[in-house]
Amino acid sequence: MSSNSLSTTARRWFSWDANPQRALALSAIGAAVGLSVAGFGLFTAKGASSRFVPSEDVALVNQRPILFTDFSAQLETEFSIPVSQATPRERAKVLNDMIREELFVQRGLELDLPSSDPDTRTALVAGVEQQSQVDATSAPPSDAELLAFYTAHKDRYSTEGRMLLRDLVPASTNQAGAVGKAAAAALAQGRSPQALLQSSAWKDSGRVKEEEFYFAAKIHLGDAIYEAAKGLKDGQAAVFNAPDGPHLLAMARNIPPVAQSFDAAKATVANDYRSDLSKREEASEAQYLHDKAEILINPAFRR
Amino acid sequence: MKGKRRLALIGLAIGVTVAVLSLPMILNVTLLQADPDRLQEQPALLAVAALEARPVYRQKCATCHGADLKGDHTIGAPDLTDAEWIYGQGRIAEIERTIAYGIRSGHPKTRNLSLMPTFASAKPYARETLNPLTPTQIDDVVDYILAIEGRTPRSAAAAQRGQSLFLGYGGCYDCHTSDARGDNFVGAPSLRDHVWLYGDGSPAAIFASIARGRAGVCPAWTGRLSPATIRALAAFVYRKSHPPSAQDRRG
Repeated sequence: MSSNSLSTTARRWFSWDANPQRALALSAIGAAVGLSVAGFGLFTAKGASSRFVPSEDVALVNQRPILFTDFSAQLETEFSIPVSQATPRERAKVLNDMIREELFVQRGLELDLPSSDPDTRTALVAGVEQQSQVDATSAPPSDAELLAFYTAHKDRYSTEGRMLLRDLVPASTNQAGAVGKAAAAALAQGRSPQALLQSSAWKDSGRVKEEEFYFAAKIHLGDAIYEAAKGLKDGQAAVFNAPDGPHLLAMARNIPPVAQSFDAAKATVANDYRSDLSKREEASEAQYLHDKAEILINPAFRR
Repeated sequence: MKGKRRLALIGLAIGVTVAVLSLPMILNVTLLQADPDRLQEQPALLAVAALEARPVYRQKCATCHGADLKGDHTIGAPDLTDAEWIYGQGRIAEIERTIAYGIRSGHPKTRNLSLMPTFASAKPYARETLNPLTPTQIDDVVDYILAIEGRTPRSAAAAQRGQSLFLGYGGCYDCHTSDARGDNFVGAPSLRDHVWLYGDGSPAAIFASIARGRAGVCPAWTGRLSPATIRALAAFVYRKSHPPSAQDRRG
């Protein structure tokens, strides 16, 4: 049969004019078949199902994949060997463990554990929070972006200040005030701090023993004494009247923090940039979720 | 007759087009079905995969690791062409895992077992208790590192004190191991190999690493790149760190 005669037959068969009842019946059958297929797909609600395991997976558990990468990492963690060196028994053990875990996770979701188990809820919250960190790290910043961040937060990037200080207190609590005043007067008259340090009227407080970073000196000396000491230059001394009595502070070496260049600080700038971006993304995610959620609050709990 | 020939030509053209279009798909499936640790046994597949990954590398990885894969010492992006690996031994499966989940990327499966503490701070390490170090103590550890690397320490006595700190109070041995050869399971680099992730290995640069800590980041590409692309990228990096000529020599 030629193609011309085929199309003529088909045209006649489906022609409304030739046989309207048959054409109507065929249309109805077509619609019914279509609706049945769609209804089956919709109401069985299993979604797209595959009988084939994709190449990147080692298994599908209720259509949820177990990735080869995860399988490989798990095998190395359990047996300290790569997949290529694992025996069939070792592979089977790891795979069975992973399938079991996947089944239990799926069961956990069926049981709606996220709504009742505090640990699951905490893990989910942490997971979503971490996701913003993943997003923030996925687009490495350009040098220009890092430089702009560095310029905007320049005060964050400096070396650690350090000081080599002697902190002395009166040797005796009696007359401590007078000892302090005398030392202050001597220093004001231009007397050498060395002479005071060697005086038996003073003893080491024991708070600082060697050169320290500023943060450590602050912890050891207390905020007030630290602030007084920080201002002293190399070889300078001063008497500071603290609530516990006078302190003779003699600075041997004071190296204040020095601003770092962009290149020197770049690694820290990159981390701070990502951390900052991650916090902003997390805040915007929280806002977005809040905005799109329907949240009804009991009137008794409204402000 | 003429019509049949035309039909045959059209068929042939369609066949060739389909074959050409399906080549990447066939390559991806072959790549994914292969055992990544045995990919080096299939140099042709490895080469094609690496070729496919090259533009992806340029787009996604070159920002940090550089177009020549030599890394960037200012941000701690490692050289991918040498034989030194912070995580694993440089096997394709290990590289693939790093690309997929990243390092300190925030992904739940990321490599994140350790980071370099900031010893010039009140709380050097968030995860466990570690003692802060004084400037002199850090200098001592720097001298010890210079000594174990075969360089002349600025002071032999300081290097001796640094060893005690390394193996005790400072807790450095915990990640870098007691012989300072590092632990590539947790990502603690060897301190003996003359390879420096940050800076130039000068005393000042080592001091800065100990004082301020380090925590480099590599993004997680799973979900953003296909599994086949991730494996192709791993093959690309593997080939750059194991050039065919070197492989032949090893063979």
